[in-house]
Amino acid sequence: MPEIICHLDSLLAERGMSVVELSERVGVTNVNLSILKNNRARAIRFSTLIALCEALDCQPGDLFSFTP
Amino acid sequence: MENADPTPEAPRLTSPLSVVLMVLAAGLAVLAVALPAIQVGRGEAVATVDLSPSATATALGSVELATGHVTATGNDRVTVNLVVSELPDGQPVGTLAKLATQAGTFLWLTGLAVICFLLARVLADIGAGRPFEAPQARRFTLIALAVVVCSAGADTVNYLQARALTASIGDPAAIAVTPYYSAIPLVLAAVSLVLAGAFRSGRRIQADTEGLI
Repeated sequence: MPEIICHLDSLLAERGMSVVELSERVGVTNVNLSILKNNRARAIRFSTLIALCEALDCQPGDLFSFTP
Repeated sequence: MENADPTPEAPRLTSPLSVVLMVLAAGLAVLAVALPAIQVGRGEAVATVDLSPSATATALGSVELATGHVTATGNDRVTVNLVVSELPDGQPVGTLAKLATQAGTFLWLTGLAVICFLLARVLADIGAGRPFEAPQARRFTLIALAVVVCSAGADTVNYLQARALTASIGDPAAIAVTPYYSAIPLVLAAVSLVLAGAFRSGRRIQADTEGLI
């Protein structure tokens, strides 16, 4: 089954950042970040994506990949 | 950039109106049983009769029945209450006949009790912060069904009982009983079905936004 994989955990590890710290920076709750990190999110707002890319200094393509 | 999730207001577990409606539903259910029982205890059968307009002018003055057997009361309109205390042969009105004349009342009160109960459940879910729970749309569909079935059923039963009662007391042609169906319940049912559709759409939208980050 094709799916979108979120690479938030590896991006956080590379930057030595915790989920709590990221949640404070982007203004998204820990719970929602965990949902995103564990690939349980069904949709993401552009505003959340922009905030994540700003906080992690990355591109949307670094955060997500498509698995056919 | 402010992207914080809005803190939802703590849901109330019960809405005061839902409690009132639940109590009302219980009261109506008790009445639905009690009123026919009280009627059976009385010595007469009562039927609400809708007279045909042409018969109205003559019916009240021209029905040839033994005095005391029938009392017809009403106004200038076509609806009167027919009270039968005994049959023309002197026999008292049977228990079954007395119960049957209350079938319409029973149907209406039962329907109202069901509607109040369903509305109470709808409001309780809304009060608990779950406005688009799966059963909500079904509840409104059931309300629409209850309105139509109980209204049409009660009107039909009332008509049949009134006809049977007038037939049992003498010349049925003397009082022309006509069936009466109100359009108001149909409008209420239509409104309820529209609400069911709205809640069904709400459910779909909620499902779409669940898991939105």
